[in-house]
Amino acid sequence: MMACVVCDKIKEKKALIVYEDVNLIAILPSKPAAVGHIKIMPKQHSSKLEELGDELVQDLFFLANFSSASVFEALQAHGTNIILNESDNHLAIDVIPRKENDGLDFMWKPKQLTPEEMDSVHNSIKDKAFVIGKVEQEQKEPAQEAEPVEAAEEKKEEIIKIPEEEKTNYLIKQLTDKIP
Amino acid sequence: MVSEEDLQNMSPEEIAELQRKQCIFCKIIKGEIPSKKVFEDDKIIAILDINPAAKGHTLIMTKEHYPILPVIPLDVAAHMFRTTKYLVKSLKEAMVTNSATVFIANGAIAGQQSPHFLYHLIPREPDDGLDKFMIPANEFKEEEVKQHLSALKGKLGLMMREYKAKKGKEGEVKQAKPISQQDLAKFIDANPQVREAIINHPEEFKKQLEANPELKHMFVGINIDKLSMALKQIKK
Repeated sequence: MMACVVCDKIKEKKALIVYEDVNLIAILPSKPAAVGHIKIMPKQHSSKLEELGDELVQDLFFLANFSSASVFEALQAHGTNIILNESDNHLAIDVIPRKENDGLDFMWKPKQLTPEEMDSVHNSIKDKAFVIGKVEQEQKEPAQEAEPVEAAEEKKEEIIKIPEEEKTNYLIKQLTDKIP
Repeated sequence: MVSEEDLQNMSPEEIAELQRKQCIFCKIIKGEIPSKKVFEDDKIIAILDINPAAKGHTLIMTKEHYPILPVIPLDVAAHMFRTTKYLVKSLKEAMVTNSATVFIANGAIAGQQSPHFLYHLIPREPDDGLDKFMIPANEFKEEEVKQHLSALKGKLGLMMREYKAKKGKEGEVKQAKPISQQDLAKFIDANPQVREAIINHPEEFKKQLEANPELKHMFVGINIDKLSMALKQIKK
């Protein structure tokens, strides 16, 4: 595996650690954006969110949420920003306390997209996000005994194979299947 | 219109109800205001931001109206966070890029503009001009940086303990601990069915990994094809 400065630092434990468990670590960076800035990292080396297991993603965001709440309480912050920037480096979430006139500004300038551009973006994301709910539903269904496991597995196969143009039909079919 | 005086006479519940009624995102969720939905289930919804920082800029929110993140029930927040991972993946695939930014603003000072808690998922590209999201590294005196360490440690430790107790799975996450290659070799030795699967059905095994995060985690950074070849050699 490639050498990673962050992995080395996590092992060295030289940083100011505010929280640590088997999977996660939260530190106060030596050069923070503001006093009380907390940096949270999964110990497992990854640079993209999808490389982490679902439960680890959940814990990571809860740790960020609680870091934000701690900063509100301990520093009397007026607000916080929680920012995760994916890059090619070790994944991290930064929780930054905010106060009036703190010199920080994370607000972007909105881009103007044409209605056609918005439509095309909308369609391509919908196409990719289409499976999310389905796969989750799959996982839940056997537990709820809504249908036998075998049937659920067959369905999974089916979902993977649906050609783009048949998606709508498939959705309708799924709906009509459920109506007795 | 509700006057200042009316507001003062209202109970917190009544004020919350009024906020719900006037909330633009609640109206979007109910379908009273049009939006471009990219994902929806019983608890959460994701729509395109009409003032995007970049193409594909998406907002994710709960269907129920909550003004701030800490008041969202644990199971709903957990579902939203887990789904965030898949949505970010979908956004990146759709916009043909490999990075994204997740941006949360708590409080008006931090840029929270909506009384309905939501956060931003933004596909990123090299040189996309979104330098605003870069985390500044500022110089502070060491004492200043350290001054809140024990207070933060105490509060955060307590909140995480409570969270794990509520989640009721304190021990379970240990499975995801990174393991050494020696331990991985031991694991393969101890599980002949895994070894057979890697040797005889490497492609199937890769699919298995995708479906099982814990297993996938053990094989992070391992080239399954090479491993399959290596195990075949050893078998001979």
